[in-house]
Amino acid sequence: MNLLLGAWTIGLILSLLALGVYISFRVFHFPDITADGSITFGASIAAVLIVQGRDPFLASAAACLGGALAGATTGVLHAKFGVHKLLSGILVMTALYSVNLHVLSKANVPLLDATTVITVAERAGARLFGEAASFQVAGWTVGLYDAASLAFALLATMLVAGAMYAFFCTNLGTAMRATGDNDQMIRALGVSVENMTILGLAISNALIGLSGALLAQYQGFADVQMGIGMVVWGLASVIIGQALVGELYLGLTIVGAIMGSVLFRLLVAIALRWGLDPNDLKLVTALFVFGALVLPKLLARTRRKAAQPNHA
Amino acid sequence: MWLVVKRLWLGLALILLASAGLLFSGAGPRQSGSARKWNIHVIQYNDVLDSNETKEGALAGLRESGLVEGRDYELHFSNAQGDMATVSALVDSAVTQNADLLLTFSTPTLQAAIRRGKGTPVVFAYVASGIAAGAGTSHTDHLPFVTGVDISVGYPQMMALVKEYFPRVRRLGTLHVPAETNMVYFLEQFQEAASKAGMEIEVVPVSTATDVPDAAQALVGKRIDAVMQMPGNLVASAFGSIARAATQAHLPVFAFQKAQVEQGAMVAITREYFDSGRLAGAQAARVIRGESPARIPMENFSSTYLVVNPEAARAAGITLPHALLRRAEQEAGAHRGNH
Repeated sequence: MNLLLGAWTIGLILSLLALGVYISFRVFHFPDITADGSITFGASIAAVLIVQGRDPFLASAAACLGGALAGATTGVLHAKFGVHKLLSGILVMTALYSVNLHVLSKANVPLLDATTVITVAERAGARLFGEAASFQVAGWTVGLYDAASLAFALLATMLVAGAMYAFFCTNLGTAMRATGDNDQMIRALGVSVENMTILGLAISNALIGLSGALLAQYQGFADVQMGIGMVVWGLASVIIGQALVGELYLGLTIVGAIMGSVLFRLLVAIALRWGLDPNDLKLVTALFVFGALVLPKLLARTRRKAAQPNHA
Repeated sequence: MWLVVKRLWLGLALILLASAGLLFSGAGPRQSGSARKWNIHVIQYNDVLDSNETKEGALAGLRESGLVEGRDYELHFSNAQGDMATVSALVDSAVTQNADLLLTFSTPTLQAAIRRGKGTPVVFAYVASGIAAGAGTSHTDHLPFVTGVDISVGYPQMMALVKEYFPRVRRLGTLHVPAETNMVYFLEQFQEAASKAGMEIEVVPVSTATDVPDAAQALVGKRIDAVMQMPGNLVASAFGSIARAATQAHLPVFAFQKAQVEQGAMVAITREYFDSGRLAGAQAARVIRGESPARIPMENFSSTYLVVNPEAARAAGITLPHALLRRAEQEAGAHRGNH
């Protein structure tokens, strides 16, 4: 049960990263590598502020702002200075490495007995459901801390996804989506493609920074190396989601990215639960993801084959 | 609405399936009574030589305590392969499988075990400082379910040795990886020991293995009298290029890891990771025998021994003093006797 709740919680926390990657990669067709740096940046800002005794929600908001700043920098490098998309992301990610070391002032900041958003949620849960450290759900023992983390991550993801959907339905959001699809058309309509790109990347990395802040609070530490490879997992989630729900409808693709992230962490957890040789962990993870990607296509093909006799 | 359901069903079905798979694969009921077998989960952060050596030491420590694998305890191994997001899941997975003891190697896994282990006893090793990692405020005043072994580097011994056998060495050079928690901590100690001995340190930062050859050239170009490399994961795997740059510049190379003596270090005051692990294994055995980790102080492993490589020195045009060689022989003999 712990493992299940933990996988769901990390999946949901990292779905904020997936949503950020969704904006840069799907909406803007911008392969934005800043994510590796901005997730750590968010985690570092939140961790340092929390250790100083600031309010964890304010700290998370500050992490959001930090991420937005990082994303905007990438956008400016690309839009105003004409640096290649990939390279502008690489530059900001590289620079953030040093920035993160300065923010943390060492390589790793523990948050083991600090007040985090999760402990606040736990206290709220204790007030609602009594003080017991664990309770029973259909025969399984559930720790209050785990349940509170999951509930909080679920709430945060739903809020962010809802806000994102609402935003992309506004005039500004529609213009932003159009920028990614056809920048010549949108330029002809009098919208600044440059400003749209900068704003879009800022929003994208704000979500990624928030994801990092929550991850640090959930795991109990911020580490300067925690961002390594994260953009890849974000991309994987977005693409798994796309394979599952298609790419026609805005709301569905947003839900798809979240599902992709949760599914991905569940698959990793299953691989762990099998207790296989630790060296094989990544191989098995890759195989699982491959399976999740091809399954929809296989299903569609068998369905089409089954449907053919009727048309003949 | 129907369209939404139709589009989502596959994803939802897969998620439900995976969740159910995880839920129903929980371990059976925990054995009770004093004769129960302890489930020890060995959790590593990455696959590097020193971490593996420490782990082997811990397993040896368990065996030497008189406990028998299969009868008294069972071992389960996991390794996050350097992926920070997996570290928590490793601990969750261990807890789900009714782990009775978590044996963690490196700082991130220790922190995840404290946070996510639900009070399962934790014994850690391969950590530079348990206090810096958040396990306690002192070696005796620590979290009640955590104990372990942290390792310090033989800087004071090394400084004394340099003063005695290489009296002209004043300025030392080292590469530094600011991203490695251990190295940041080691650098503070290094600087303290050096300033006490009246020496200066030149530091060149690196962040990836590919930077190391260039950084090593930059380091030897800094008018230093010797290279004295701090231990760390990254520099351990790229030590050869550090030694090469120093040899070409005819500088002595001092190191703190035994493996580096084979890669061109001339003198090393080495920590024995294996033995530090053995100490942690002995602590784990005490926990299994019923002692509370709260009463077992965290230990600092500081014992070191001297290793020399006269050929490497000759390649750089340096002759190691005879007295130093004799001392190395004695310490190596004593060390072999320990094993």
